[in-house]
Amino acid sequence: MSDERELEALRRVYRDDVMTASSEACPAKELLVRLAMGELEGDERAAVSDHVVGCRSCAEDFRLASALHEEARTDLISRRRSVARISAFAAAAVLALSVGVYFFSSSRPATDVLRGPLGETTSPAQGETLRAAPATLSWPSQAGATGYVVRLYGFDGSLLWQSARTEQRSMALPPEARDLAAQSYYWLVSVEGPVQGAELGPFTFTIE
Amino acid sequence: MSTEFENLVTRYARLMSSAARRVCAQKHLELVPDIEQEVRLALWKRLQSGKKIDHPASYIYKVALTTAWRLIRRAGPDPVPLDETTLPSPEVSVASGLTPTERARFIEQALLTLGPDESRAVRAHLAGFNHREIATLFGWSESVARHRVYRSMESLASTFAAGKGKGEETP
Repeated sequence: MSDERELEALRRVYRDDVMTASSEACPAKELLVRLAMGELEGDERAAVSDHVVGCRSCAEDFRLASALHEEARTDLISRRRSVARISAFAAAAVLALSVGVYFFSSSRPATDVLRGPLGETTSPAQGETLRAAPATLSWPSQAGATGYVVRLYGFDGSLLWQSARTEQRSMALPPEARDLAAQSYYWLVSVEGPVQGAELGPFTFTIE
Repeated sequence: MSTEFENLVTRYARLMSSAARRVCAQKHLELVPDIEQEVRLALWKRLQSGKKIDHPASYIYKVALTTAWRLIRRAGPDPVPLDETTLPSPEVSVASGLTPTERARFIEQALLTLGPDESRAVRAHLAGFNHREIATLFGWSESVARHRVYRSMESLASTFAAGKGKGEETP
């Protein structure tokens, strides 16, 4: 059966002498379309398929339906790939933008100035959840800083309290600023320097 | 019913258009408007008959495919005919000298020696279907279809060889 000519000749004999022409036994054309779409199952599929491979007319009909379905499927897959490529490009762009924003924000002069030389941390700790308003806000001391001003904001951005200028690296919250509802807050520290100012934060905490 | 039809057409207008374009791909783009029209008509008839459309997207695609198939068939010669032109016309050596009826019986008898799936694979292969089409026909994977065709054609060749041997021995 390796001989191609022999195979082609056998095919011709099969088509001419074994396969039948269309007859009343042919299934409805809709069934051929459903078969091409892979919708038929079990005995129904076997019956229609067995007829198709033995009927010239139904074989051609099935082949056309199958070709159309395959073309549609290929077209759909290629559209999905295009969408996926565009999505991947968009995701890459968003990622690049995020990385850019991160580096831009982390390369601000303010942040460079704001490293605590002695490893001091903020209090409350960044993102800490508290039972009540903190008594004191403290932050890493900044080299060359001549003074600090603290601002406390509600999570909607409303300014709740602003401290007087201090040269210390902490500030007690006055009683009127400690009446805080259960929600998240953020605070910033403006750092005064001999040449230029800078800003620490935002730092957040949540009252539960 | 008219409102329901209009709602359906409005809601699935893009899908109808997309299904028609997809089914027609690049080869039969001129049929797209006809197919869209036929899909609308089919929806209308379906609703008029009181039948529900449970899965409109699938239904619309199916109607688009059926309509495309019908229009292409009606348009003239089959654009994807079984590959007759490339077939040479020599007699099959194993069945040479037989009448068409005798050749048919000879091949049928050879096919009867195969198992059901082997016979299906061979019939589909001889009918001119490729592996993808055979896989779709019988719900096999393409690799299973390829394997079955290969093995079954080997079995058929053995059967033919045995038959030929017997024939030669017969005085």
